[in-house]
Amino acid sequence: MNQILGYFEKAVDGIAQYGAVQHFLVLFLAVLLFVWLSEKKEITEKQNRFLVYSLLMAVVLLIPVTAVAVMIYQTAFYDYEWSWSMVPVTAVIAFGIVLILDQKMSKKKTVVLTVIIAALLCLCGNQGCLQRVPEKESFIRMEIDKILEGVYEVTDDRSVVLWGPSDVMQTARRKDGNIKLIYGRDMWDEKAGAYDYEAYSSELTQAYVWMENAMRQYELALDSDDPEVTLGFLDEQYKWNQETGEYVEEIIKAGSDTIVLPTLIGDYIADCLTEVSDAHGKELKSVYAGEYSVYRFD
Amino acid sequence: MIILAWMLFLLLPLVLGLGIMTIVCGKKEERFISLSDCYLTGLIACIGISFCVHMLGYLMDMSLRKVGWLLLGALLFVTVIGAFVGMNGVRKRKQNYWVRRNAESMSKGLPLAFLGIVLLQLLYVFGRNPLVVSGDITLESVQSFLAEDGIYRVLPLTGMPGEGGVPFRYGMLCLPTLYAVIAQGFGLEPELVVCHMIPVVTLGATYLAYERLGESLFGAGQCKKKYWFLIMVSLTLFFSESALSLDGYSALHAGYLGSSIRNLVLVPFTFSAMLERQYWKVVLCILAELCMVWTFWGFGVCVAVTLGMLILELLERKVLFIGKFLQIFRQKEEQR
Repeated sequence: MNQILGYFEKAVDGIAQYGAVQHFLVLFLAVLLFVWLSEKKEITEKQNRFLVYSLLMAVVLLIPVTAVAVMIYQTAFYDYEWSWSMVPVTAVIAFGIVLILDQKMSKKKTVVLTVIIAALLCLCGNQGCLQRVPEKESFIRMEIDKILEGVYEVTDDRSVVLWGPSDVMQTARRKDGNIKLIYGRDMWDEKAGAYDYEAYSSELTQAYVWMENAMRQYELALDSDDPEVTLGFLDEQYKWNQETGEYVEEIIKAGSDTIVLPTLIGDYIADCLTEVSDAHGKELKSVYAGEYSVYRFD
Repeated sequence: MIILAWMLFLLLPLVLGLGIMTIVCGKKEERFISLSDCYLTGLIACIGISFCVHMLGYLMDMSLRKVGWLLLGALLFVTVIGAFVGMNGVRKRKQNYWVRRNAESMSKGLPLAFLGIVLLQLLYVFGRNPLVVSGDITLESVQSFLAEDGIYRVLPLTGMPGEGGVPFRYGMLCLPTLYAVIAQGFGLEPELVVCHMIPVVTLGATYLAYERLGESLFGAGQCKKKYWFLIMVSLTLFFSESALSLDGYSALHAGYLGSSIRNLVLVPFTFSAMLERQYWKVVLCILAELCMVWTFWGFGVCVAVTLGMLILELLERKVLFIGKFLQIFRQKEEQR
């Protein structure tokens, strides 16, 4: 019963969000209304069946009770908006536009109408702005070859278990399957965690939080006039050197042997890393890799 | 090698599909067999063969190289048979496979406009910086297969061995294995195959599927309406890419996902097949979805679409008073 109620809540939230964000749904319904109200039309049996299916399926998905049934059918793996795969929204919109343009009119009117329709599609959608890779991620993708070169320089065999900022870890794994990670993208992308049964320990989760906080402070420091002074101030605030040792210890215990950090941070906490490696009887090797430094505990 | 890969992406499904279509449709000598039908049928058949080889490799923990050789052998074998059967069909029956007779004449403007938009989209899809799709682990899976020379020997996201491994229902899905085999076989970067080449193939197949749907909706020979339909589909895809579940996002940013191939290729193809009552194609689409997308053991979108359309058709034909009521969009025509 609780599960069904959970689905019901998801369906209601999903309908509200989907309706608010997806303006193509409005176009879809407008097309169906146009075809229904249109006086002059030659709708064939096949076209009618296609449109009736689309209409009925849309109604099923817009009523929470029936939407829950569809979501259960689709399994708990998918969110509400994926249920709309059963409705041929794109085809219906295109079909309706063809019916509008198929009316007898001059070539000039056809061109003007086509432009208006294209503008309507644009306004209902992304307004012509295609999605782009975030700037930070783009930068990492440009630097990743240098980082990976640095990683392979400090290690002779190709066994690497990496720890670093999330975007570096994500890009490194997607670039090279030989790079293992101490935790994966499912640490920050919940949906990516649906594909395995593993869960991360609280120590690893805390290490992830520490690393991401450190990166946020680093970016703030970069924006300031004197990054070194700012990092010193931030260290007093956030006790980097004291906490760093604890988290590096946890990471080494979990199996990591290679850390990637922005050079400014790495230089700042180098003493701490040396202390930890000495305490574990390991040798610390380091190499510069573009704007990053790679540290290897051997 | 990349050119060879492109040639195989283009020719292999086409030839295989030609053979299958000749066998299925060949007895009806007057039947027109379209290129789109051949390519889509062949593509689905390739996915099916990949699934069978993938399952063998997954269950027997075979090395990726062995899986690659098996897949190549299986695909070449069926393609050669398909080529032989297809060419035989062309020679014996003198069927017109390429150009429909009785097509309405129209200016070249519409096809050129459509091709222009498609070319822009194909270039964009091939050349763009790929987004990281939330919840997707295809590229990491491909990388882990190549690194470990095996299927799901480690967890894709970390590369570390896992206690539970991946769920069997996910491990069954064959696309990461297919992409890994292509990358390994042609010596290509996995990111190039997964994020650039496969989406181009998916986009091309999308328009072939919508071409079939357009023909089913507007009738054979209605080329002008069909091209307007395709142009509007291409514009809708271009503008509807703001969210993961929308067709435009699937087409432009995530064409390698099984759910994208299902939504863009299989679903329109299923609608077309249901409208034309070519139920064998519907079965192929349902099986292809089982191989590529996490569903409740095959009960996915294609099954739902099939059942929905079948129920409507049966109600129209068998239950007359409901059938009349369902002519919602034809009522005014009938009243006149």
